[in-house]
Formats: sequence, structure tokens, C-alpha cells
Amino acid sequence: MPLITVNSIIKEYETAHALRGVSMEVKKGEWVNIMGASGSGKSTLLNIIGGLDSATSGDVIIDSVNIEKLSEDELAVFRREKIGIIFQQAHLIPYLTAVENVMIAQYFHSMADESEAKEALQRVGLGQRLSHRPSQLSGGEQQRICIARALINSPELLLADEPTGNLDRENTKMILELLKKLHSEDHFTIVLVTHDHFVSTHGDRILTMEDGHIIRDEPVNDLRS
Amino acid sequence: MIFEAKLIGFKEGIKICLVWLVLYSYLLSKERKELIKPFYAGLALSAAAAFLSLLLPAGLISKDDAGNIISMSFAAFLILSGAALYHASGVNLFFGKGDVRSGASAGILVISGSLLFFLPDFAGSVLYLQGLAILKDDLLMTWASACAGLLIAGIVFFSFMKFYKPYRLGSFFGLPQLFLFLSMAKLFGGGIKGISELSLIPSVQRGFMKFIHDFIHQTFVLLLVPDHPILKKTAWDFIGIFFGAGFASAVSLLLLLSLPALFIRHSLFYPLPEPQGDTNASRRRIWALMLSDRRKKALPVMVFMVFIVAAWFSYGGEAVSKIYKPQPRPLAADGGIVRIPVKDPAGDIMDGRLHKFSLFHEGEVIRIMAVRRSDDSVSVCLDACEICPPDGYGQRDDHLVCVYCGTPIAVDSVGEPGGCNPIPLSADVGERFITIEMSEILKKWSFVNSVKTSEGVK
Amino acid sequence: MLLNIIGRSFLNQKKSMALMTASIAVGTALVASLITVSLDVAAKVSKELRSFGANILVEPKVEGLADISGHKRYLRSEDIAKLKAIFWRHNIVGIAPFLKSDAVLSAGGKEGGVTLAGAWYEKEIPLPGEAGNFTAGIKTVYSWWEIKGRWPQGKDEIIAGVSAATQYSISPGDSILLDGRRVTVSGTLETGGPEDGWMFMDLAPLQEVKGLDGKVSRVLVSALTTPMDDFAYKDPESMSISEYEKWYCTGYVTSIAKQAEEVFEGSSARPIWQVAATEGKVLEKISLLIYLLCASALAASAIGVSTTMIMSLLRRVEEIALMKALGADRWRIITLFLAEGILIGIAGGLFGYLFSIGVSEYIGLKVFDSGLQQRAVLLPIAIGSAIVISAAGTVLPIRRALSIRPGIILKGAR
Repeated sequence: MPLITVNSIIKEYETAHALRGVSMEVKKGEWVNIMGASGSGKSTLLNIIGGLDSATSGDVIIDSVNIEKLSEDELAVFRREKIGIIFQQAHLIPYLTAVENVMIAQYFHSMADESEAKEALQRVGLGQRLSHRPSQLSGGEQQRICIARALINSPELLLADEPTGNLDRENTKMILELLKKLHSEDHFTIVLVTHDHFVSTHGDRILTMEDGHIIRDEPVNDLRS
Repeated sequence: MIFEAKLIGFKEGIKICLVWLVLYSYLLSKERKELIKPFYAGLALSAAAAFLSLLLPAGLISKDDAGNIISMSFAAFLILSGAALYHASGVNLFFGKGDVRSGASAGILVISGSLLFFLPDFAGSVLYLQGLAILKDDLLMTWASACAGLLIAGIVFFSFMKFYKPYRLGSFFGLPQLFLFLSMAKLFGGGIKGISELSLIPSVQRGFMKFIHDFIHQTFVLLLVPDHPILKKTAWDFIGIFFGAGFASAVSLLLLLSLPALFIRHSLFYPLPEPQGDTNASRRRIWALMLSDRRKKALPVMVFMVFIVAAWFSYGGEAVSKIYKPQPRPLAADGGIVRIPVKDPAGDIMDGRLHKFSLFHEGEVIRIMAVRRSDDSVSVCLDACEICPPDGYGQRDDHLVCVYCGTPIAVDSVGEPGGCNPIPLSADVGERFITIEMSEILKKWSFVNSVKTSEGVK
Repeated sequence: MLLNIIGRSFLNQKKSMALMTASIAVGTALVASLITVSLDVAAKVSKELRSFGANILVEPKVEGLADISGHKRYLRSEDIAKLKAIFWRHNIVGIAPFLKSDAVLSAGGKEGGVTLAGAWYEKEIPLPGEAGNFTAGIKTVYSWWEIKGRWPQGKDEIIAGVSAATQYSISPGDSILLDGRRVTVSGTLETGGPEDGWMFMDLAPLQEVKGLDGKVSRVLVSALTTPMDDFAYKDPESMSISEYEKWYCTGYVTSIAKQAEEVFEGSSARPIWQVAATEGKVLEKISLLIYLLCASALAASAIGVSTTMIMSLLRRVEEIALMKALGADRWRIITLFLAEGILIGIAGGLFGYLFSIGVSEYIGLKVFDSGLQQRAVLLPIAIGSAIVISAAGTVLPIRRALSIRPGIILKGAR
């Protein structure tokens, strides 16, 4: 039984079709990259899988729950229990410190626990910068807080929307190393959206999208060879 | 329609509906919905028994007795809720290792609980309505009005429930909270003396205050305050603070609030068990659920506390300015003359308070009262007037009050005939004794309203 | 955590927080000062008719057009003693007759009209049909009236109400002209009521001067009464025998007033709370205006909070979207905004109350020439209503916040 089953979803915006019947599956423990030009619908697909947006029609079944059928509050529960999201921009709350930015995810999940949040930041290598504000941190450091925040509630699924889009090569490598570790050691299921070919060489599978369709589905190894 | 009767009916109806709602929500949340049936049985039994009590000989249970029984059932539920709380904190108080989850024993408990709750209230209300019917000379109308009030309450409640079913209430109540709710329902809706006393608060207040007063008194008597004049005066001035109405009221309020406060403490500060879970996140989730359940269950208790404090202060004046009614001291006629000592160990007539004496004569009790007026003369009267049933007089602030009709009497006019004043006796007030001719007493006694006291008129 | 978030976000947007607090504070200040003023107006009006002291007012009955057009009727002073012959005679503890008239006062070079009242200060009156006397007069009814100097003796001495005395710079011992007659002021009187603007002299000489022998314009009676209960408002006609018996033996103020009315020829005797209730009708109309003002002030505050909060929300859309993405359900979002609103309400209410002390003091001095009594009770009321208003102001922002779609916001913000 796959962890994610997307069943012919269509997403229409007022002016345009973003997704025109997309179906896909992701197995537990898999790392899938979604590639495509901007406007191809890859971020929309990710948002729908993460319960941040809803499809116009079609089913998204995650862990045997059809999230398209959930109410708004049930969806909120789903997001906090099952999903960890990393964005292109770190989206940290500017007036909270690094630890507090992690704790806020704990708070919305259940309750804040400072020592656990500190530990999580230490794991992503930010043990020295716990009480810094986001503005005092570099882009790479901000993104690492974002990863710590995404992982703090032990999600089933890690979604990443262009996580390295704003980073230089050095930081990109560091983030990818982190994701690789999570994938291989902790067996996280990862769905990552990118248009960076270097990024897409990591992971198990690449889906390529164009104009609201998935046009290719191939393993990473094939691409390398 | 008779308003008082309608009000009593309405009040009982609302009480039944509220208790049903909370109990049903509680049972739903515990998935023991079927236990509502024994509740209905208990309710019906209570109503039947209350009406059967009409067959008892009149006067066997007085309104005051009924009031006392209701107060006791209030106390019973309060104690039960304390016990349930104690039980919930880990000490298995009620049934040893056994469980009350088996159908039959749970059913019996619910029946007896609802009997304990409703029977005293119903009996008291029936008694009140019966008295009202006699006062109004209209039996049918009184009962019809009461039924109408009951019906209105039912209609109000059912139309509310049609609109909104607040069964989620159940998550706010555990067994201790349920018992606490029942005792609060008693406290706020348990009075049976009509409009003037819809709730039990005044009598609970009085009860508590008397208890505290007696407690302090006994304590100081035990401590044996030394008998040196100066020391005695300052000591008693100091002790007087503890006899003040304000002090007793405050202490009794604290006493009543102590159990809810214990609930709050239990809810918010009692250590939670260490949660089990694979990950930090799942442990946190279990903790959060336990905490929110606790906070939810603390909420009704806090609401009760607010209610108690508000009610206590809004009723505060009544219990405090109660009428002082001294116990009559026995007297005996000696050779056709009755002598009252002006000052003796039992009392000092010149102290400005009301003094009463009782005299037995041919199977009757004749009560005599004496009070000092502002010009230091003493007026001696029968403790009765020509109009009211001879319930006598009490003292409030600086004037006397007719116990039956509540009319205040200026102390300086006591001793003059007419109006609502007590019937004066011509007496010889001497240095040490007040002497009254027995014949004078008997002559004036014949004027006293021949009906029995108001308690007996019913 | 919640408090942490709110505290930090407050510091992060000091300007809009200050704006919202100020908006609430202004609204609450206005409401609190209006309440202070209206309570004090009511207190000032009813002071004359305070329930302790006198509780029954006997006045000539107003009949027909002639009375309305200014023709004056009077009570007979010979009827006063009859009050001590009614059934409830023992309950009547004070009687004070007054004869009100107008006079021209000149003192210290100033001249003007003044109310001159004839009264008994403390007078022994023989009991009708019995041996002995009883005491009547101002002292039996208004024992708390304060005299500086001494009570007048003889017909050429008067007392002056304290505000009239200030106006004409009169002090005890001064000699003044009243309607051209020279009289001596033996003392000044402070009552806290409208009598402070009056002059008092002995009843008999005033009757003589005005040609109104044996006439008084009102009699105030102080009686010990049974508190009015529901039973007291019943119509005796509809009572059962046992009820009637009880009613008959009960000294309600209404029944004592009824008997007083029977004693005075051509009179109407009313319990003072009834008179006060009539006065209250006028006050009610003013109160309605005040309530409307309060309501609009509070509504304006709520709108102020609402718009400011929506503005600040627009800056925080990304933040809210993030919270939703992290799994915040509707309740958590509502709590966040509501808690902010409540905190603003508490602060605004507190500032508003402090502010209102100044405002109402100013209004009091401007309008009533005296400071108003500040009531601590208003503090919880002010804070409570400020919380309600500010919470009401958060309704729209909350709706806005709930409608935020996290997906689009978080992706679009690049």
C-alpha cells in the first residue's frame, strides 16, 4: 500500500488550469523529486498533497485517508500530525527566536517543549544560535531552522518546495546532505519540488511535469547514467 | 393563575431539565446512555412519594424541617463530590476493588441518587404549595398554576433543545464535577419558601455562620479567658471581632469555597502520569490531551465558584441582619405576684436588649417581655399584640420587630397600647425586681388573639 | 507559548497596539464618565427625598386647572398633631412641616431672589387626646443636617443654606435684609441637598408675615415601616381572609401614607420612593440619551479596534498562513486574536477609567459646580465592557484570518 496515492486530480484557478488530471503514487520511505518549468503545476501538486490547498476534483489518499474529504479543522489535524513542510523561503516568524520558531510548531501540534526544540536545533547544527532572531541568521541557517521545525512533530511525510531555491551551492549541499541523512537513516518519505537538476540527482525517483500533466516518471539512477 | 405557585413549578421544572441535560451529557460521554432510564424511575418515584407525603398528618413535617432536609441533601452531594474527587485522585474509596460498571448496581445507584436529589425538593415544594392553597383558599388554582409553571419550564427547555443540543457538556464533567453540579443545583434552586427564598443560600449561610459562631464560642470558653476586669474587657473586645457578622460570613464563604478550590488545585496542579509513546511528538500529544481534559473539567468548577461568591454577597445582608429572638426564661407566680429580677447572672434588663420570660398557667405558656427605653425606664409587656397571631417580637438594630408581620416598633413606644405594639402590662419597676400582679397578666392575656401561632394556623 | 507569541507580536507592532488601546481607552473613558455623571445626577436629585429620614411626603392635592396655572394650595398645620392619633401612631417617629415662599434677600451689597422656608426646628406638641407631648420638627426628620453656628431663637433669627451663604457672603452673626426686614443669621446649614440654597426661619412668624396663618406647604413624615415585599403591592380588595388579616397588621409605608392622607384635609400623601420614581421618569429620558451616547462611543471603539487589527492582520498574513500550515486549527487562530483583543481591552479599560476620573471631574465642575463622587465599582465595569468591546472588534479580523488560504500565500510570497 503506497503512502500517497494521487488519483486524477484537477485543479482549476479562475483563469487557468493548474493541474489537468494528475495521478501518482509514493511508497513509504521513498524520495520523489518533482521537476518542471515554473507554471507547470508542481507546487500546486505539492500544496494539495500537503493539505494546504484543495483540488477541484479527484482524490488524494494519504495513509489511507482521503484528505480531499476532510473538513478544515480535520485538515489542520492532518497537517500537524502527518506533514512537515519546508518552503523556498524559510517563513520564520521575525519576532521569535530560533528556538521559539521551532516551539511554535510544537504548540500548534500539542504543547511547547523547549528542551526538545533545542535538541532538534542542535541536530541540524544550530546549537550555538538558539536565541538568535531570523534576521541575525544566514539563509542557510534559516532553512535549517525550517527543517528542524518541519521534523519536530515526527511527521510521516516531508514536503519540500524548492528548499534550496534561495541558497548558494554551499548551503544547498548542506541542506541536501541533511535531507539525505533523514532519508537514509530515519527513513523519511520525501517529496521535493525543484527545477534544479543538481538537486534532483538526489533521491529515488523524478517526476517531470509540464502544463499540468506528469509527462515522465523515471528513477534517479537512469538519469545519472 | 397564582404567581407564587407558578414560580415554584417553573423552578422545579427548570431544575429537572438542567439535571437531566448534565446527567445525559455525562452518560453520553461515558457511553452509558442506558443509565438514564433509572434516572427517570427515580424522578417518578420522587414525585409519587412527594404526593404521598400529603397523606401524612398535617404538621408532622414543617416547612422548616423540609428546608433542613434539603440542606442536608445539599451537604450530602457536596460530600459525595469531595469523596469522588478523592477517589479520582487514586484512592479507591467507594467499592474497594470492585467496579460499579455492572448494569444492576449502577442502575440502583442512579435511582437512589435521583431519589436523594429530587425527593426532598419535591416534598418541600408540595408542602409549600399545600400551605399556599390554604392561604389562597383555592386548592385547584394553586395546583393548576404549579403545573402550568412546570409545563412552561418544559416547553422552554424543549424548544431550546430543538435549536441546540449541548451534549458536548459531557466533556466538562467527571463524576466529582457531576456531584458538585448537583449540590450547586440544590444550593441555587433548593429553597422552597416561595419568592422570598428561592435558593438555599440564606439558610446555608445561617447554618455556616451559626456553626462558626458556636465553634469560636466553644474555643474561647475552653481557653477560659481570665476573669480580671481589664484583661477581660480588652480580651473580649478582641474576641468580639470573631463574633462579628462580617467575619463569620467571610469564614463561612471560605469554608464553602474550599472544596471547589480543591477541585481547581487537583485539576491544574496534580501531577499528570508520564505519558507513553514512541516519539516525543506522540508523548506531547497525549500530555496535551490530558491537560486540556483537566482544564475543561476545572471550568464548571470555576463557574460555580463565581456563582457562589456572587450569590453570597447578594444575599449577604439577609443573613446578617437577622432578627434577635432571645430564649424566654421561665418565671413562676408566687402568691399572685410575678417577680422578675432586674439583674441576675442570666441577664441584665438594663442592657438595652430584648428580654423574654415564660410563665406556665393552666397548660398555657404566657410570654412576657421587658426592654429598656432610651429614657432608662423599663417597659413590660406581653410578648404578643391584639392583632397578629402571638408569635411575639424580636429585635433588629435599634427597634423591635413583630415576628409575624415584620412591622418595626420603635423601642420608645413600647409600653403604649395600640397599633402593632405589644400589649403593655402595668408593672412596678424597682431597684432589684420588677413585680407584676398575676391578675393583671391574666386580664391582658385574654385580649391576645385566640388563634394559635402562625405555624399552627396552616 | 500563547502568551509568548502575543507578547512578542505586541512588541513587534507597538504602533497599532497603542492605537487600539487608545481607541478602547477613549471609548471607555467617555462611558465611565457618563455613568459617573448620570449616577451623580440621580443621587443629587434624590438626595432631597432620601429614604432615610423622611419616607412619606404629604402635599396639597393638585386638582383642576387652577392649580396648574399657579394657584397655590396649602395644608392646615392644625392637622399635624392628628398624625399621632392614627393606628400607626407609634411608628411615626418624625414630623417636619414646611412653608415654602419666595423672598428678596439683600446682603453685602448684593440683592436677589431666594427660597425662604418656614419650619419647626424642634417643637413640643401636645398629644391629641392623651397626656404628654411629642417632638416634631426638622431635627426629628433630618438628624444629619449640620449647622455651623446655632439654631435660631426667636422670630428675628434665621439660618442660611451653605450655598446661599457663599453666594451672598453671609456668615453666622451677620445681619441681612429679607423682604426689607432686618434679620440675624444665627448659623449656616449644610444638607448636601437643594436646601443648601434656601433660607430657613421659624414657621409661625413666616406664616404671619405672608398672611398664611395655619398653613403649610408640605409635611415630611418619618415612619418606621415594614420593608415593601411582593405582598405589599397587592390590592386589598382581591385578598383572601387570611391574607387580608396579615396585610391589615403590616405597617407598609403605603398603608401608613394612606392613613396620613386621611388626616390632612385636601392632601395627597405619597411614600417618598414613589415621588422619587416620578422624578426618575425625567431622569430616565436623560439616561436614554446617555445610553445612546455610550453605545455609539463603544461602537466607535469597536470599529477602531476592528480596522486597526485588520490593518495589522494584512501585515501578518504570511504569519497566519504559516501557523495554518503548521497545523493550527480554527480554534487556535481564534484564541490568538481573541487573547490579543482581551489584553488590549484590559489595558484600554484601565487607562479609560483613569482618564474618566479627570473627565468627569471636569464635567462636574463645569456643569454642577462641584466635584463628582468617583466610584471604584466602575473600574471592573470599565474593564469588563472594554474587554467585551475589544473582543467584539476582533470578530471581523478573525473572520479574515480564518479565510486565509495558506498554500497560495506561502508560495506566492517570493
